[in-house]
Amino acid sequence: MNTHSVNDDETDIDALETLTTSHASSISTINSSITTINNKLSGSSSSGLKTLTTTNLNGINGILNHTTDSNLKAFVDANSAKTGITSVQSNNILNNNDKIGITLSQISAISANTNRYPQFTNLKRLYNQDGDIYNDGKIKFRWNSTYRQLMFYVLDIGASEYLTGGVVKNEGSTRTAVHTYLTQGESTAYKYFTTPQTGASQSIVNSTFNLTTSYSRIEYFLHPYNEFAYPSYRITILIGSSSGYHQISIKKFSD
Amino acid sequence: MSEVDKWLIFLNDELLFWTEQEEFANYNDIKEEDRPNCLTLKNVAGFTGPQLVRLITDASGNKTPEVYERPPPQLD
Repeated sequence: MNTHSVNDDETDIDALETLTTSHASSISTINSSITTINNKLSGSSSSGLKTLTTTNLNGINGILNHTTDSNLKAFVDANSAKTGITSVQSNNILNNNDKIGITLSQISAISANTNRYPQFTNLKRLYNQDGDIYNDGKIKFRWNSTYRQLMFYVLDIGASEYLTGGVVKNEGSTRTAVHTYLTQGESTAYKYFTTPQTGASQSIVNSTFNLTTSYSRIEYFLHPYNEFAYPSYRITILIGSSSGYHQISIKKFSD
Repeated sequence: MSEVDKWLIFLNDELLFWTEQEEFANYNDIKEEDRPNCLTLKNVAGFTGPQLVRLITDASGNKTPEVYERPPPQLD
């Protein structure tokens, strides 16, 4: 229960007035000190803090203005010597600016020519290195280094479609040739250009056409029997030494 | 850069052919009667492609590949 009465409050006020009056001097001193501190904090009067702040600001400004030695000034001075290029370099850049970049029409022309037929694939191949040499998604070719013959593998064609082909071998003054139908549908094994191999896995070699003679020029061809939308190929092999690098040139016509 | 693996197929101790595709490192195109005389080695030191290689048999019967340069061209 609150037992504080009005008379009690009056007594308190009287006591506070008495206290204020008796400590007026101290309160005035405190007010003066607060004013002095405020002036120092705001920098409007001299103080150690103001002196320190001014000193540091001058130092920082000196560094930023490069009038005072500093790591920053040393770094800038060191790199200032590196900026700028000679007139020769400038001219080279200007000259080369004219050379870089191609126009959209030039890009279109390049794309058109890249996709134009016939397309050529040229490579050098050691006589005894076996393996794939070409793959365009429709056909892949392999150099068979045991028989030294070119082989083909049908990756993509209609099941009822035939491929025809053959080879002409010119060795010295001797010419040997064969042309025939070769395959039907897609392959599951590599095939030769010299014999009908209509079964998917059928592969029949005719050793008459082994390319083991120096100074030879051989031409293979592969062409669909009666299919418009299928590529045709003409492959030329030039042989200097039969035990050397052979030049193989694959010419593709249409898609 | 890692080297491409090379398989070397020998017939009667002389290099018959080589390939960088393992699927062709077999004797499928070699005559049946010659296959017992065939040997396959993978990655022979010093062989990069153009050289010839033969197998040397030591006293213990071990075969060691010897890489040698191709002889100068001769008219056939």
